[in-house]
Amino acid sequence: MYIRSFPLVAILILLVSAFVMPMIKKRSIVKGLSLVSMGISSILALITLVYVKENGSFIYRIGHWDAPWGIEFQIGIIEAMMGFLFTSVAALIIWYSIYSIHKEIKDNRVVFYYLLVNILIGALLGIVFSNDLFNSFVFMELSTLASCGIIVVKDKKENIKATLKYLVLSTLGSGLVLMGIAFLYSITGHLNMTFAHREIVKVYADYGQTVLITLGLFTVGLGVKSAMFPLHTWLPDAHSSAPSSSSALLSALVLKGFVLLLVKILYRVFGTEIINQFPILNLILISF
Amino acid sequence: MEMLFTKYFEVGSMVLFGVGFMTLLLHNNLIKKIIGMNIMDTAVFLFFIAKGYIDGREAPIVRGFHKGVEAYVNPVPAALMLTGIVIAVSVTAFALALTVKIYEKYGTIELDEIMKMRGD
Amino acid sequence: MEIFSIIMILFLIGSAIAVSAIKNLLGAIIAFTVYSLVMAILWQQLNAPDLAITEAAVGAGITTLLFIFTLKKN
Repeated sequence: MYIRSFPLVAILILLVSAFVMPMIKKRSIVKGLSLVSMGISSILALITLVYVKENGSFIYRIGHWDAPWGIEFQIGIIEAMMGFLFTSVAALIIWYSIYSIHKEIKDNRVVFYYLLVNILIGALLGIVFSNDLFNSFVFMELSTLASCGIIVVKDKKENIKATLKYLVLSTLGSGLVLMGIAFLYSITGHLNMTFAHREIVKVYADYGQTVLITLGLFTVGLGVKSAMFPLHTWLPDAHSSAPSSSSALLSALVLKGFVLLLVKILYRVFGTEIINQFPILNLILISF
Repeated sequence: MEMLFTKYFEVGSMVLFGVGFMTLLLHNNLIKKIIGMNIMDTAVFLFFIAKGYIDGREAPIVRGFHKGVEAYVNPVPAALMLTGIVIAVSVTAFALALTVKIYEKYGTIELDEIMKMRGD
Repeated sequence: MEIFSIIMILFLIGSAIAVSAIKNLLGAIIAFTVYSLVMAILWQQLNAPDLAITEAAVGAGITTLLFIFTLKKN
């Protein structure tokens, strides 16, 4: 039964070890701590994946509060797989960056770099596992700030310009997502994805326009963040000017976290029945 | 049409969202861009709170004794938006720190002049 | 009560437009402070006093301070 709390433990290990790092003087210990914490959480995610593969998906209540009041984690096969993928790829990238990071950024910033990487991966795991809309939004903002941090850490001219562009556009995206959550909350009265889906199936016939606006807000907001085709203008600058290990983290993991959140919102909150009545998939997948 | 006058909080927050959006996207000055971002965020918060408001009920604070669920407005949006305000402030602080850095490197905070300077 | 709220919303929209119309940066920041305070009053009207206190302290206080420190550096 302890296995069911492993997703939360994986997030907590990353966040707690991140905030221990500034207190440590020696840089090699910080690098080792980052690698070890990422390795432990990838092992936990692997155990969760094996458990989910045998026993099916499960719901973990945080603080043992029941669903509409408390926050839930729902771990199905895709969440467990993405969690293992994120942590293991991040562990490999950190292993590489231990030998190369001192060539690209100044010595006194190395500690903060690993702090931001740990916060980033913890927030991404939160986006992947969480079953609560507003909780996902908070983790989304956390990961945005952390990924801006790992771009700007190089401290060059074009670097800061690219980070500012990224920050302005992703703030725009998160404002739109928050507006979408407000619309969804006002027609369903729930923030939990399962309960919101149960309500929206009942009421969507009365609120056709509102559901359309909500779908548009979520798609554009998360599309800016995950750099979908017409909204990708910030991506080339930000990814090319970042240090090489952060560039690997950004293009491999951060964008996929937001894509997974969009998939969860489209299919878990709205459901195929509602989506098929709107042309939203034609727009995303460009299939007319 | 009469919804425009009965739901005036929602209408006002939509107008504010538009104004903030335009300020964020169209202005050249970075500080004005950041103010526009703040206006956009607070407009969303106003929309959320207006959705939680129910006419004729009091604030969700128990004074003396509990009057039952029917006597208070919905406290969930207020709790959520408290988190939202903190996020907006941290994003603002980060963006302003970047603005200071930009001024140190480029010597200006007008975005069109920054975009003209190519190369290093 | 209703009239008061409508006047406050109009005032809010006016100060938001003033932010983008005023050329002087210090003036724009002061207009934003006014905006935050009026927003705090509106939240008090909507029965969310805890949020109104936070907005008056954080939105009108700390954010304005941050903006003015940035302006002094430039």
